[in-house]
Amino acid sequence: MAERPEDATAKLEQELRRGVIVLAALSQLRSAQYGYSLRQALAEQGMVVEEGTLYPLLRRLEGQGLLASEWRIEDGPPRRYYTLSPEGRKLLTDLTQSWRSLVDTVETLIGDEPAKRRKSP
Amino acid sequence: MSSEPAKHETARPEALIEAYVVDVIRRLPRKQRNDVGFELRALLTESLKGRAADAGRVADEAMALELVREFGQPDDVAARYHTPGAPIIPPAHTRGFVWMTIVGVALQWSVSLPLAVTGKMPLAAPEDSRFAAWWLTYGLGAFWWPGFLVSMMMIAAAVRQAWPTSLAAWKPSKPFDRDHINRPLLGLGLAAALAGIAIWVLVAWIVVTFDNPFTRALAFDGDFLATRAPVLLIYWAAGITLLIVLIIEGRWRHLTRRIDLALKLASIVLMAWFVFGGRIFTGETADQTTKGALALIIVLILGQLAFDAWRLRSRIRPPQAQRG
Repeated sequence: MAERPEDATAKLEQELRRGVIVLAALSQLRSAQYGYSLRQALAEQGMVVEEGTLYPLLRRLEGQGLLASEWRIEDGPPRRYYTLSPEGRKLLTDLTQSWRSLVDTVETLIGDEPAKRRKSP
Repeated sequence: MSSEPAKHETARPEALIEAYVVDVIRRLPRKQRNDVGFELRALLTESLKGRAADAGRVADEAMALELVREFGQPDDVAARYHTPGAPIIPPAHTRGFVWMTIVGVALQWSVSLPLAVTGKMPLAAPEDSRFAAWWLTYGLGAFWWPGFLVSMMMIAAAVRQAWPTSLAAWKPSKPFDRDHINRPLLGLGLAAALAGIAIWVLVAWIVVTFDNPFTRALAFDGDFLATRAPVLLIYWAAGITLLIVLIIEGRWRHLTRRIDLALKLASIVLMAWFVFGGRIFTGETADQTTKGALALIIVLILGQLAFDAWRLRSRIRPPQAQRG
């Protein structure tokens, strides 16, 4: 059975977002965050990430040496705070450059499309 | 007193979260379980409180269930905690694996089931329970094949993981130019063919010249020598001419491929004529042995023809243009 166009669009959008989750998460971990606060910080800036995706991702990035973490007990239960490791900082710089270059390229490719849409009745 | 019902209501969703987290972490490596479990439980509990605050009510079991269901199936969540690994059966091989599994098991069943049901296969069971006895022995036993295939795939995956770089780069298979001819190898083939003909002629001469029990056992049938042997000599001459042409040219051409195909088909007809067209040797043993060998050679040539046809089919063909 053929996939419905709206399903295909949702899947492709999801893939598009999935590709930038690592960059988005790393960008917010210049200062220490725990899972829930990171998700809130991302959501407040328009990047809603599912908890089921974000929390395991933090562990995987830590396992790859890109994040450092520690348990902290402040005003509430113990929480695991994550922050960028030196390797994570370098990766963030590299990914940021790649992202900007990619955005420029894609903008060039699709740049006329919004103008065309605005013109059409 | 007034806080008691609220405590009671929040105890159940927390228990549900706890049960969910336990279900997730038991799918993780043992050394990770406690740490991940503690963190995940705290995060989910905090999320639940956030949802309850947004909804302006106390968190209940339904809200907690909705939260963990959105979080994902424990299998999927546990998988997300792992760094993506190499699959045992790569996607490109999945279809082939499934086909090999089905064909392998079906072949075993197609041989063992008729033999078991007809009583030709010894099974320690009465006649009316042969099928059950077959299923518990050869039927289920056939599943050694998928197990064997998976084991081979595991070894292949381990090799890919151990030497990723040396296997990553594509290398052409040796005979990637199918029209290329290996002259030294074909030269050896020509020498072997000439030696074979020489042995046949020598045996025929010895048999005709000397009279003893050995030569009598290998004596050719008179009718064979008169009718079929000359055709064999013509076939040999054509085959050797083709070999010489191929060695000189160094490549297959359309014409030489056609001639080769015609010669293979002719050899099948010729050997079938030898097998069914009367005696080759006067001695019974030599005659039957030779005919058995010829029947085997017919099967091998048919197999090679099928392989050649398959190789030609796998070439890339131009697509058919669509009108309209």
